[in-house]
Amino acid sequence: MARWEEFERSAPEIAEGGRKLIYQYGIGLGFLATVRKDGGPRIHPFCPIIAVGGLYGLLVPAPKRADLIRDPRAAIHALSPEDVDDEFYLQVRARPEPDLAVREAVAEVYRSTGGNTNDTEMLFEFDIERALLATYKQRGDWPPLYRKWAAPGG
Amino acid sequence: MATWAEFEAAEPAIALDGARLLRPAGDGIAFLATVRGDGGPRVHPVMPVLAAGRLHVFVVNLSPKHEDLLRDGRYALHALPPATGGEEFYVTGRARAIEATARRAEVVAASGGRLGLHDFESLFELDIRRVLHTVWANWGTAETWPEYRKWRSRR
Repeated sequence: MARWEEFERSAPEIAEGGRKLIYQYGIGLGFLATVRKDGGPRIHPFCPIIAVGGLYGLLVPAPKRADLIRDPRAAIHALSPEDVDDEFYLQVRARPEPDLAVREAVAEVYRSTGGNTNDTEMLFEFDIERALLATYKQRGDWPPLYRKWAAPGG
Repeated sequence: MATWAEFEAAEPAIALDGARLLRPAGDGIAFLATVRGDGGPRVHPVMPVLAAGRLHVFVVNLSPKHEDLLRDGRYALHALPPATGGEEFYVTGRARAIEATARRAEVVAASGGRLGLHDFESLFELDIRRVLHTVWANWGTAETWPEYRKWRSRR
C-alpha cells in the first residue's frame, strides 16, 4: 500500500490524470464503495481530498463510515466527465487519522475548494493498493487506453 | 427481490424520481459496485436500461465486474448526481445474467440501439431489494441535511 505522494512519485501520469478527474468540478468528487456488514457492496458519493501527501475523506456518521471502521477495504471512482468516459479508479484501504493537525490541514484544503466541514466528521486516509486510469479519444471509442499501477508488494 | 415494475407500482413517486436520475434509456451513467473475489468492493460506471418493466445493465464479458456478478450477484447501483447536486438515487439487490434473446432485443431497442450490439456485452437484470432517494435540504451550505425516501421489497 502507498500514500498518495508515493503513488504520485511512482506513476506521475496516472496520478496527474486521476487528480484532474477528481477535481474536474472544482471540489473533489467521487464514489466510495465499501463492504456492508453482510458482505454486500455499498456505494455513495463523497468528496475525496488530496492534501499533505495523502488521499483523505471527511466522513459524517453514516453507514459507509461504520463500514470502514469494521472493514477498511474500499474502492474509489472519480465522477465521469460530461463529454468523454475517462475513468479513474482506486482500490484502497481506509485508516482513521486522529491527528488534529493533519485534520486541520486537510480541512483547510477542502474548504479552499468550496467544501464545508463540521465537528461530526471523522478523517480517514486512504492508502492505495491499485490504480487504473482509462482514457478515451472520444465518447464511443473502444477500447480506451488503460494505464494501471499496483503498490509494491500489492 | 422485485422488478422495477413492482417497485414502481408500490412507490410511483420514488420510481419517477429514480428514472429521472438514472436516465435508463441507455444514455445515463450510474455507478455499479460489486464484490471482488477477495470480498472487497469494486466500482465502475454502467449505463442502465429499463425495458420490459425491469432494470438492466450490459457488462463487458472480460471485465472483472462481469466475473464478480457471476460469482456473487450482490450489487449496489448509484445514479450519477445531477449537475446541480443535492439529490441521490440508490438501489441494491442481486444481478442475474439474462440469456434470452427476446429480452436482449427488447433491452437493445430500449437503449435506442446504443448498447448491447456486440457479443462481448453480457446482459444482466438487476433485481431490486432496497431503494433510497435522498434530497439534501440546504444543499451547498454547512447546514445541509438529508431527507430520505426508502422502499424495500418484501420478497
